[in-house]
Amino acid sequence: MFKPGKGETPAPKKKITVKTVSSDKKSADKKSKPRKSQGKKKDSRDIKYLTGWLMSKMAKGGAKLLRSNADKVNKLNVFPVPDGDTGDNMRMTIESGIAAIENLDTDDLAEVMRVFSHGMLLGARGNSGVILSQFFAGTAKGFEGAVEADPYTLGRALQMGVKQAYASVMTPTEGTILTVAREAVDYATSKITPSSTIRTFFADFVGEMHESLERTPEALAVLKEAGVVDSGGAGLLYIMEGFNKVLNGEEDAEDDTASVPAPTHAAKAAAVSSSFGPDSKMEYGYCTELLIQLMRDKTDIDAFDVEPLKEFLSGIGNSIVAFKTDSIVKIHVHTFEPEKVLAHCREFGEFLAVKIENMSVQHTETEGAEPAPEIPVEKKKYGVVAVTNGPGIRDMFIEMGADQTIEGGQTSNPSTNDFLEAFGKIHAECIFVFPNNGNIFMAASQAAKFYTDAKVVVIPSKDVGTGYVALTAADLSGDDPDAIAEEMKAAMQNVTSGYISPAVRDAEMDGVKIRKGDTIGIMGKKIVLSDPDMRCAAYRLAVKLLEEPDKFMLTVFRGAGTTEEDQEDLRKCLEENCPSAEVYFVDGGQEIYPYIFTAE
Amino acid sequence: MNEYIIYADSACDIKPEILKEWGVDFLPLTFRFSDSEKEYVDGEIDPREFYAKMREGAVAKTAAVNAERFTEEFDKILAAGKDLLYIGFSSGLSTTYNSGRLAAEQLREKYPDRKIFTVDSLSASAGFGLLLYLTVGMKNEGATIEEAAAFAEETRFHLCHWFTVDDLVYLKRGGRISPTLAFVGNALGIKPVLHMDDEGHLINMFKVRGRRSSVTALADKYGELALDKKGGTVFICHGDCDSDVEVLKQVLADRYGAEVKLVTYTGTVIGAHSGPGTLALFFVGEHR
Repeated sequence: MFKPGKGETPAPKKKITVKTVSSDKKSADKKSKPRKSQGKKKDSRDIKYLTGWLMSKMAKGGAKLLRSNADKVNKLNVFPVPDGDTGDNMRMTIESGIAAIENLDTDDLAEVMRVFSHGMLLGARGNSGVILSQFFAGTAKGFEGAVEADPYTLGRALQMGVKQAYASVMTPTEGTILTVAREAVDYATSKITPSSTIRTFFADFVGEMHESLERTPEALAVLKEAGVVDSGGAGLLYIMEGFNKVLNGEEDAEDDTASVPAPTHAAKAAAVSSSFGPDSKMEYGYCTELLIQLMRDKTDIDAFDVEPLKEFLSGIGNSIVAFKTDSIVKIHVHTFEPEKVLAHCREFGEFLAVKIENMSVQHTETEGAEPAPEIPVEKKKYGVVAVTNGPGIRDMFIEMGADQTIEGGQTSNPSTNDFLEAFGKIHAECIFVFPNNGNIFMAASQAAKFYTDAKVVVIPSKDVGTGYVALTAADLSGDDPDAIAEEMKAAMQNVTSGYISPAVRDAEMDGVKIRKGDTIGIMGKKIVLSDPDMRCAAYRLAVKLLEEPDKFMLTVFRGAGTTEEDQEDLRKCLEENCPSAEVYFVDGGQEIYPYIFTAE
Repeated sequence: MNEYIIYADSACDIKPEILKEWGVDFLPLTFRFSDSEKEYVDGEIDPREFYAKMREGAVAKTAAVNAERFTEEFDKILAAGKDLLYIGFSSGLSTTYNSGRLAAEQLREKYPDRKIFTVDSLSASAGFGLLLYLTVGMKNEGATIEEAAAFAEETRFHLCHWFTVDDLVYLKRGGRISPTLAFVGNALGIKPVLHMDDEGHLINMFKVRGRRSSVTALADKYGELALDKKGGTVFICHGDCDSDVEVLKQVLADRYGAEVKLVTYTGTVIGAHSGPGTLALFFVGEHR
């Protein structure tokens, strides 16, 4: 069962890195750039007020703890398939908030929270990431006008955070991050007395959050069946534990800020304070960011896959981000050997931009130049943005009229900001968005709310198959975008999706016995079969889908892990045994799932 | 009343023996495969063989009937003292009707005592065939040539042509559909549903996902437009896709109790443009 690590209870403090601030001392703290601990011991009762400076320190501590535990959160996956990404999503979400406050020089709590939560809103990815960002955005609203907060104000603000988090979900489910946040806030708020301090508040808060997380399997049957606690709740707990560690002086959050991606603000380059001299130890390595133009004479651009690259990078560094957009690959890695990264990457491309920063040197700089966005000539009526996974699926969406595609999927959820960037490249009156994944829908919806240059309609497509059906079924020559959206949604209603995936652990779900290494077949949201043979599993699932009432047509999206022979085998079996079915094959190249099916 | 002949052309996709039974004379359009100079008369090659060739990639080019041929044939009828009602293939798709009309104009001077009528069917394939069938029916019931011509003029706007094609590439290639209307038809599993408008042009009406849906969409249109759903005359044409015909017949029977009077191959000239896998439903409706 999930153990959120040490420090659930306020441990004895060895050093206090936060200063106590009373309102009359505030002006003296204005200059306070985050600085190293003075190791001065303070009593917990001293921290009566949460200040902006303290908040930003705590935020960094929260991000840090989540960062080192993101993998554990990823593994809290309900389905025994290798697609858990809640930890990464939440980590990237909070890091986007951290990047936003990195150079913020204020002790004003409301301002720090406003900037922090706005950064999170933009960086939000995955449903848990979106809920997290909304929780902080609501809390930030609760702090409006407050330069600092006592426990009462803190409690009220967190209540607003909970409220906004709930409101951000169409049908809030209990036993999730929402419940964990709500119960912890309610409990901690009810415990406030006039003698409460920020520290006692967080002790109650985190303590109850831990309890609440352990209760999630009781509230949500799927968790119980899978034998895990809620992953989003776990991610939130790590963040709050990180807050607590900073409060209790167990953690000097400053140590690790360098691993936070550098913010994009220009003109800060001058602010180089050299903390790296002739006798310094190379402690943190280099933050290395490359923008690589894939070259046709060096590699097959369409088939180029970033996964092996990620693997290579993980051998020599960490904090890896690597993604491909069209023929351009962007990577981010923290490594002691940037020269190896350069040499490796030149095997398939040339650099458009290179940034290598010594992370011991406290400075920030502008990010590598982004490719200039194309300037559209004329505003068209409709634009389409689709999240695609794999080159085949991307091409298919482009062929069907997608103006922008965002590479993403089950394990790499694009952020709200990724959507905003894609919207910005389209010059249209109305943009239809196909998130093509249940876990990307919220980030897309959040972006839709932020975007003001065009009406944005998010079509809730839960996989690439249904998204494709919706896009092809619609007639984009109509005048009324709402009518088109309805048409798309109606087409999706008619679709039953199926997925084939490897099983990563033994399990028994929905009455199906699953052994690690088997291939499982998922229909809609249910596991319907498990088979030691991938081809058999694919065929059996295809037949099951076609046996559903009123299903005559099957589109098969073949994933990266399957071969032409696998596909031919499936085609032959289906031709022989389901001769009346219309079957179409698409070389999708998606990850995780060897096959995605849509039956109509 | 003087005897009159109803004259047609082969674009009506009714077999010669049946036309003969109806007492309808006709001239065939022609085609050739693009890799050869050899010209075939519409119907000369067995449709199954023809569609097999198309499926293998053969491209067929079609040619209208010229005015000379019509003049020759019409002359024989008029010279024999019979009147003439020519009902021709939609002028929206071919110059055949215009050739017939020119021939008729020319012959009016030569035979001032004969009655000569031409009607642009604004129809094609068995839709045109159905118009002929109904007009022949009028004639058999004793309609005069004037009445028969007026009937055809009026009834043509009630002849519904609803059809689906397996691949729009054939219609696009032959220029029988305007490129802007030939909207996305190449996406996997997307099937267009088309009809013929009042000007005799092919119009892409909407698209559905899957062949099965496109077949039932034709039946939907029947339910929406047919004047006499149970007893009306229904013709079906197909480009070598018997099993889909069976599905369509079954749906029409189950839903509306409709009986299909005639099922026939889309002929080689029409088929050269619509391609294999075309399934077309023709009936009399409130409007097209």
